[in-house]
Amino acid sequence: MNKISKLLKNDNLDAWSSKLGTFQLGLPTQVKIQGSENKMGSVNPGVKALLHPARFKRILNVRDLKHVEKLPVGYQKFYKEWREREPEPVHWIPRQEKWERNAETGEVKPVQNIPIPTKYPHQVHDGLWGGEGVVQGLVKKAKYRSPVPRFWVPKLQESVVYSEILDKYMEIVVTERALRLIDENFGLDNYLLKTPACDIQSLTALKLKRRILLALANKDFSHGDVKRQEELYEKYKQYVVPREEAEWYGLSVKEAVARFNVLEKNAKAAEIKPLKYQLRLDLLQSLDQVTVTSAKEEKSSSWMSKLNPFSKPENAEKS
Amino acid sequence: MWKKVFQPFIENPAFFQPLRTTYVVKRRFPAGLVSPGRMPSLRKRHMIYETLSDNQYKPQNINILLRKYVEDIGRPGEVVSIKESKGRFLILTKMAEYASAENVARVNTSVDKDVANFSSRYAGSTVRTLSEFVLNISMNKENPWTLEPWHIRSAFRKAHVHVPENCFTMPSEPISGPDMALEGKEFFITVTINNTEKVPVRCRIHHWTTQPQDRLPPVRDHWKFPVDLISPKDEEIAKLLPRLTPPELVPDDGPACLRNKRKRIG
Repeated sequence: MNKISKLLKNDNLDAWSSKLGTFQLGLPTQVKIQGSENKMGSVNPGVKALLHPARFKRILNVRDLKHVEKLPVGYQKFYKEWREREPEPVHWIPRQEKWERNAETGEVKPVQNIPIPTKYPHQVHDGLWGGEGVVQGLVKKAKYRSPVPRFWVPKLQESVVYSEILDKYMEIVVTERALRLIDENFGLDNYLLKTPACDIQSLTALKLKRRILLALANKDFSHGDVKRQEELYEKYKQYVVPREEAEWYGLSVKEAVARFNVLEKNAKAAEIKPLKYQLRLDLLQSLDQVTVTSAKEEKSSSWMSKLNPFSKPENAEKS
Repeated sequence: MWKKVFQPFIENPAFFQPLRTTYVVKRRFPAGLVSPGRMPSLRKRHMIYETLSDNQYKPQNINILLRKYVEDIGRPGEVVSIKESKGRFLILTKMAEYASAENVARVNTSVDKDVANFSSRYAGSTVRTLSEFVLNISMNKENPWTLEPWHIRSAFRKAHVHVPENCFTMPSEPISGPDMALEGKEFFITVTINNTEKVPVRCRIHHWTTQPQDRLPPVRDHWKFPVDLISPKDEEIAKLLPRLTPPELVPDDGPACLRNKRKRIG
């Protein structure tokens, strides 16, 4: 666990989620073809034969989806952005042209960009990799040699990043690509707010984005420095989302379910009121009535007035 | 014409990769075409990849906007292009900002630009280096001599500083020797940088012979300790320069290299 996740742990909002910790989800290796939609859903039975059963299970992601269906719209929106949206190609270059002509035969064929699957190991969630992942494939080293497996792994380094809105310096594992993306977007806040969740991938970075979004939604940052806060709010105005969405942003499915359960439990608890409160109210009201009536009675015939020798009798003036 | 020549390169994104630190791979055997609504039939041969670009780090330059004067880099309000690692450090330490259009417009109005107006980018650090400098001038112990500009020029050259003779002024009173009263004592010359900045430089005379038995005993770290002046008139100049603070040494400490080792053990 690195420092940034420790930092996030201290947040009250994430207190309940820190108990659960981050965990690994199924990997989004859905394959989509340009200009076509899969009628069969995300998986075609034709691929089943090619894949290892365990990998096939991960593609389906059924376990997550059945939970996400029950969760509120705010989380469903985030989940779609994070898991179902196609990330921008990082490890391969899509071809821009639509058609291709064979130089010899003059035959024209369409160009289809079939993505090269990228894996996101659980270490992604501890850092900020800028959309990079691990590519698993084979390499053919010589003409008569059989292909051997190879993993193309990003180069990681520890670095410090600074968030303008949170006004915090954070130590985090990054890749050079992530640092350059931050530079291109003129700062970490801009990078996180502009980039969709599927291109950030990392839960740690998404939690950071969640804190930024919440700070913007609540309009509570810059340590109460109103002038600075107004300045920054004006700068990041276009990225402000409603609080309901910001609260569900950047949570893993397990965390979202836990949060949902807690909220539901609280709502139920608020509905069910113990009978003692009603009884207490009734008793107090009845006591009030008793005191009022008794006070009236005392006024009309108080024994003190009878005892006091100096008090004038009611009919003294008359006589 | 050039446009036609470069057109195929411009259109092919493989020739223009903005990020050279990321692995980019390509299928060696391209996958076949598929009809819409179907998954591509990927075989083992479609998993064979070729590496297009490596993840080796090649440093780039980054444009930053300076908020304060940074030695050897620039003055406040200036947009400079420097190595990205250095630029990131300056931005994190709030010495600089990203050179976005908004930042440039904001900083140009607020920053005081009349700070550190040196004649060139490196003049500031040259002034600082020379003011902390102690120039050792080795003179002959046996034959008579009078101090001349070329003596000082060659002494500078021995210290890896190349100074032409027209760039410094000699002391007003001539110095001649060999005179053991001058040994290890200080006088000043004034070096002019780019015909604008003037810096006094400490010079010390040391007597030297070719005969090893006649040479003076070595003094350890002699440039770190303040010494007497040759002429008392120079005291005013000496006050202008930063003071030499002698290091705290334990007697019989041995040479510097061993001393450091001992410190590490202790």
